[in-house]
Amino acid sequence: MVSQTITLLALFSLGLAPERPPRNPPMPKGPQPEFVTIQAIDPAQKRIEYLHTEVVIVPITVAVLENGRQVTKTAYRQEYRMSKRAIVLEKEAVYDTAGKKVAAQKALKRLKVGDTVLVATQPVDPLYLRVIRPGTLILVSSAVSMPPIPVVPAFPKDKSGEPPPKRLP
Amino acid sequence: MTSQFAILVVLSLAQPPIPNGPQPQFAIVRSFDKALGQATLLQIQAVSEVVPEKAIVNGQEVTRNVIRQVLRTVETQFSVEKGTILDTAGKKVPAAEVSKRLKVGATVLVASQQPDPLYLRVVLPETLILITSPMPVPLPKLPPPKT
Repeated sequence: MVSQTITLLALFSLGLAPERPPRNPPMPKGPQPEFVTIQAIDPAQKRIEYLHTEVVIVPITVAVLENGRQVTKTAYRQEYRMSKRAIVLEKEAVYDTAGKKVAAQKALKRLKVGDTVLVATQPVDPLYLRVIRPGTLILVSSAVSMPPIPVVPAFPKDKSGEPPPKRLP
Repeated sequence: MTSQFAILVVLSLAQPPIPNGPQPQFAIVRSFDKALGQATLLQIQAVSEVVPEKAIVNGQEVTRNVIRQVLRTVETQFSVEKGTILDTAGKKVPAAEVSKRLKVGATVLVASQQPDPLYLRVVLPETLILITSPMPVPLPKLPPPKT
């Protein structure tokens, strides 16, 4: 009788308890895909050209006033660069948002110039694809190297601890 | 003159559209303090690292520096009050609605500016886009103009 009451109370409290958010939400395994727009399609070679946007960090020279004197310093600025890249569908894999493989011929029929697709170096984690419309194609190519983030060279520091200014272009 | 203009229009129409600005990034909501309006976001980013690697060249062991891409989990803070949250149509999402929609474990998009609609064509309409302040860039202090 007591155990039944405890069970009933436990079930009742579980029903009333507010939904707790997960303490450690699941994390995607692997890198995130990139959004690209298709620029050209060659159906004979099953080749697709797309536009890729990347962020690069560029050093710039700025003039600053220090103790009433104008000195030049190096600062870093983010720039967006676009580059065209190509992928041959027959050599690589195409997936849909459900993670199913799409045949190269079928993918070619679905793709149009100007379409937005996702590009990745490995099959994309479903956590990313939760916000992507069904029907979107994901081009997976091991040859598509992610843009390397330029390693900022270690400038020799002067006495004041500041790196020497770069020459203006 | 009219025909030239028509040709130009046709040529511009034939060119595929080009998105303006950077593409949005994916992030997972790790925690969200509704009272403070503070969200913690997790992102997996590919970072280049210089790694020393031993190799044998002409029978001799040499150490080379190889650039390797590693995945890192980066945690960032987002303030609902200070930042802007948009929907895929580019409309601002009010703070009250954000509290309801921003859930722990949810996937959101993060960008430093409103993403181009070309990118958002493949994004589900209920997705939240968090606009964060761009990386701080030191602004030059120019000398006062000479009078």
